[in-house]
Amino acid sequence: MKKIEELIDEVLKIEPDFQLRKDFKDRVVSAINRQEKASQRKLYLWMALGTLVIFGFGYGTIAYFLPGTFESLNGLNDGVSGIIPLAVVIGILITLVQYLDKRLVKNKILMNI
Amino acid sequence: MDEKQLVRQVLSGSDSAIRLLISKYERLVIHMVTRVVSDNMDREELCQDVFVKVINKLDGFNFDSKLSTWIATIAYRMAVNFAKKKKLNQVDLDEVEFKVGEHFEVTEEEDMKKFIHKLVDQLPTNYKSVLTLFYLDGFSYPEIVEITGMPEGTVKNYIHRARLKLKKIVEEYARKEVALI
Repeated sequence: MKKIEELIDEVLKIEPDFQLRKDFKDRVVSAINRQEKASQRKLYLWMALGTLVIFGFGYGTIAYFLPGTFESLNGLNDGVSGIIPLAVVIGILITLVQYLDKRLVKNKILMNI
Repeated sequence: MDEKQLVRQVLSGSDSAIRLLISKYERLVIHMVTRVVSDNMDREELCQDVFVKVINKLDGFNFDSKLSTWIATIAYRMAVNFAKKKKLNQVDLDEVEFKVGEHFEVTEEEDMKKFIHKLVDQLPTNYKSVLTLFYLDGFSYPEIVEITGMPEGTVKNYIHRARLKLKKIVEEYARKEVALI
């Protein structure tokens, strides 16, 4: 029989008797896709919230410095014509910048590899 | 496909690259997990968690080390955290009471191997992890230091003490067997 030390070394090199299930890779891929979708939903939610905050801030600033502009709901259209379309355009621009930023950061990481 | 290409493809969102990465490193992750966790369902779940974390953190991998070392680090930490949470075998080597059974035939080489395997399973978690990294995955001492965060002296000491302890128990048991014959 071999020396005990040799047997110990051999035993320590034995592969564990365990196999992952056949669909293991599929489950990892779907878990990652699920996470990706959830984080994207979260991102869009934050972007929408950010847009709302900016819009609210703009509305508040105008209302403070130009009192009377929003005295009635009609004031939104009558007082400062085009303020709503402007807010929408700003919102879209912010969303676009955030989306591009996310894309460009990922591309930059890939280019550095 | 080399490591850089593989990482680039995984980061670009390719499912087939993710599958390739899993195929390439699943044995490494299995080694770390199976030495620490005994339940097959827990093993499977932990292996999945390790790969999900590896892929999520891959954009932070900067090629300072080999990809295998980096993946082993994540697998080791997650396995150790799992063991801590489940309060699995965290005692020191000297405190372990090895259960060898009443009559374990160790006269044949194969029986002896089974006997040693049974002892290895009872080693403390950190000893098993270091032995696995050294013997099964073939990592060097500096790589094991990087993976486990232990000082090199501790790594060498764990390997030395574990082998010595196993040898002592096997010798004692073999002597008893011979005396019985």
